[in-house]
Amino acid sequence: MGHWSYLVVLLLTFAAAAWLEAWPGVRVLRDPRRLAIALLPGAAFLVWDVVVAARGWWSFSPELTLGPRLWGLPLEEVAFFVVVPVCAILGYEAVGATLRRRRGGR
Amino acid sequence: MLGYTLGAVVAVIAAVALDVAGTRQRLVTHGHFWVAYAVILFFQLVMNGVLTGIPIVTYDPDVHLGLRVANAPVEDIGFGFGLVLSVLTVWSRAGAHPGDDAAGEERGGEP
Repeated sequence: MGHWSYLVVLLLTFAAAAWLEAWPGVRVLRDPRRLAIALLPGAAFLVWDVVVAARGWWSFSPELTLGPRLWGLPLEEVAFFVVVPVCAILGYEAVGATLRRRRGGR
Repeated sequence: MLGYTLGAVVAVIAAVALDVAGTRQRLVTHGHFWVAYAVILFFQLVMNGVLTGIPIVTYDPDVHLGLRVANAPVEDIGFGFGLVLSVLTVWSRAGAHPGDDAAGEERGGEP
């Protein structure tokens, strides 16, 4: 454990889904414009996150995060709202590609 | 005051409203979404368990119900669902061709 803990969790989460980009029919990372639009709802959740942290409803360990903060949140927590949506979209597209192949016989 | 609980309920309602009425993507009516969500939920519970178990994040016990799933307040499942559904709804809408209503479901892998 240490300051890198949260960053390591994020990187492992991304790694768990990133390989799906190589799945036949999955094109997520190669469509950056569409991906950027899809990240917009995450901004609303990020605002909520800032409010909740400011009210003290939750707090982030200074020992397990890198240190720099943005709007009171560790940078890793801001990155969470990019990493998690990207992983979700990769999973969604991989499931979709699999269902299409099973239905279409290809 | 269960402010965190209320926030989770609002997140779920807002995401479903965006999906069903706002964009008319209606992912929640398709098996595709729910199969993907089941997979995503599994990984979310693993991630929540790690973040709250180490603990990288600590919650004020007064703002949530106290019911915990994989170490994290049950409310986090609501927030996660809201985030995932709203992101996938917008992703789906952003991939729709002009003139489409419910788009994307059948088309993804085509050239």
